Amino acid sequence: MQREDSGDETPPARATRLLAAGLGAALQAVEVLTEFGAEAARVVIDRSRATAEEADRRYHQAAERGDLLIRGVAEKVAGGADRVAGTAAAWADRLIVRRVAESMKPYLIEELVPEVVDGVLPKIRADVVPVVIEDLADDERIQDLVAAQSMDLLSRGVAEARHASADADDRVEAVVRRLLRRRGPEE
Amino acid sequence: MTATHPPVRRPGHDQYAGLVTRLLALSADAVMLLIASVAVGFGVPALWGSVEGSAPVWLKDGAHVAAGLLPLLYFWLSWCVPGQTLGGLVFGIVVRRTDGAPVGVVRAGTRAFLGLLFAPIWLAGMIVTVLDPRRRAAHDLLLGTVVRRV
Repeated sequence: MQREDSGDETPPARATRLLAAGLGAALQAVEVLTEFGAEAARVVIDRSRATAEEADRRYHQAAERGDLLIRGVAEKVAGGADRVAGTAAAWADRLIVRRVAESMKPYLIEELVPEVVDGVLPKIRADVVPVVIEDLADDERIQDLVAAQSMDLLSRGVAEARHASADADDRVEAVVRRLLRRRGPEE
Repeated sequence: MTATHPPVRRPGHDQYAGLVTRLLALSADAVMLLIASVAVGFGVPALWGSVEGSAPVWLKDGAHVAAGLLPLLYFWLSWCVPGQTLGGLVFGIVVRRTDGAPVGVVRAGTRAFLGLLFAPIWLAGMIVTVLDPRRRAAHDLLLGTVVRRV
């Protein structure tokens, strides 16, 4: 019966079947290609993303290194500039400022400073000294110091008086004994 | 030519006060007592008088009696309690019994009373200090006391 069916198949029917088979194969091929393309696209995207992340990481590392490098160089440059400035200032101080000051010293001592002092001293006497004295008088440390000094002075005076009186005791006794010894044989 | 010799010190002698020290201490006490007696005897009635016009008789008499008793009380309490007067405090001397014990109430009172009553004899007896090994005055010998340095 099957043989009959295959043997009795008419050419148009065979052609249709072949067409369908071809179409199916084509569709299959399209599907396979589509899946393959999708997979390929996915791989490409993943790799692209990984590449982009790697590039980003490398970029940041490079930026950090560059930053460190720039900072180190800047510090070195700043240190060098500082040393140079210090040396220059010392040099200027040694050679210029001191000479200027030396040359100005007589003028400062003989004319400017006395004028300033004469001008300022009355104000200091009137405004500053009373305040300073009041502060010192109110300061507990100063009061304690004065009290301690007074006590020290008093105790020194007492010690000296005791020493002097003890010495005088001995001297008076020595004199009396000498007098008694001299008078002894005469009497 | 007279050579000045340093005073000869006898061993153990320095712990007792000599004639000069005792007279100086006594002088200091006398000055303080004079001031205090005048302040009590005349100052109190005068103060009262400046407030009220005139001080009552009882106050004047009381102030005079207090001024008279002040030296006795002063010496008595000074020798009895701390063993030294203010003059003794300045010159660093203290009255003790010969065995080193504090002077008692009776002995201190007797010492003060006799000293004030017979002051000239008391002072004359001080001469004995230059001869006694423990620098005792006549009244010290009589009452069994010594005057030590502290």
